[in-house]
Amino acid sequence: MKRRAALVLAIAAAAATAAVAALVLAGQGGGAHDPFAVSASGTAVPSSELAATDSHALSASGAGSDVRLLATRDATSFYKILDSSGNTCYAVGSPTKGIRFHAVFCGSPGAADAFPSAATPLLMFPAGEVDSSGARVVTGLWGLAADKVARVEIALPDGSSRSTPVKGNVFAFGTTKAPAGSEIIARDASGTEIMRQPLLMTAQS
Amino acid sequence: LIRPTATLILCAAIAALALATSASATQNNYWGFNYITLNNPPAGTCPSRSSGEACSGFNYWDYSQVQINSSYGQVLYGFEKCTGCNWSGFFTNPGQTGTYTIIWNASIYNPPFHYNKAACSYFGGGESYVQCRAYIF
Repeated sequence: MKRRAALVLAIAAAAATAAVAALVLAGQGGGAHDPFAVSASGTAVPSSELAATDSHALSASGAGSDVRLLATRDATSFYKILDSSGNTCYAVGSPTKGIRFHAVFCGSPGAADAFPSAATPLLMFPAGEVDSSGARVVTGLWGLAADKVARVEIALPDGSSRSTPVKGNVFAFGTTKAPAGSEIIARDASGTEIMRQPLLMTAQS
Repeated sequence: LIRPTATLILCAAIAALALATSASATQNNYWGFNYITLNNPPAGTCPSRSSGEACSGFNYWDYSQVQINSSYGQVLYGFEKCTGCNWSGFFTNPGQTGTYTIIWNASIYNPPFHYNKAACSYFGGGESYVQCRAYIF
């Protein structure tokens, strides 16, 4: 009798565990993980942690007010910002109240091949300069990457390269010079190339 | 009777002040919508600068912004921090339409001079259909 009760109890426990697991998976989109999503949800930044200048940056950008800090790498913070319609903006800046958002990108809602997607697995915040003659140079690179991207690489024209890992959907090269002819490459965990494109595109007249 | 009236007046004054503050933002759409290319806008659109470049006048601009409606190239959005200086900022992702905004004291600016021209410049690739904007809050 005791054995039978234990068996019933074990079956009930297993069923409950399965039900909970199914609910969790359903909450994550049914378990079918999109490798080109940005799954990091980050830490919510309460509105009390936004100074007026932070709010102005969001307002000027047309961004929402649901701010998530994804990660901080080498003193640069990366944010995901949602609005009530589900539109997402991304920002780079600092973890400090008042100067959180140095640059903000809000993509056109419904645009084809918008980040994050298989066609666009990287969203870059590349810094650059142009002099009075029109000469251009890359001076730094930070960005966000889809889940599938494990490493980002800058291939230089002289055959050398620099690379940095993606952690929590973000990457940072920091201040770095890259001349014309440099390329940006996204690789998955096995090292397979997912995307390659010019970092600084050739001028077209 | 006096206290509720005074409270009401105080609330109205605070609301008016808040409205005035939020309405005090200045937006300057200084170029576009138009196609930015290596040759457009023409040289001199921004004084002493090459073709493909546009700028606001000098002021204490807080944000430099570019809205990209179609994108086959790269566009720099940033500031000119002193007369004749290089323009610096971030540049856009080819193919990614939307709004790109940078603040005057971003960490890439060292030192972070506030008196500036907001600037946008063709940075590579093909044409992009854009509007360049500057904001003061």
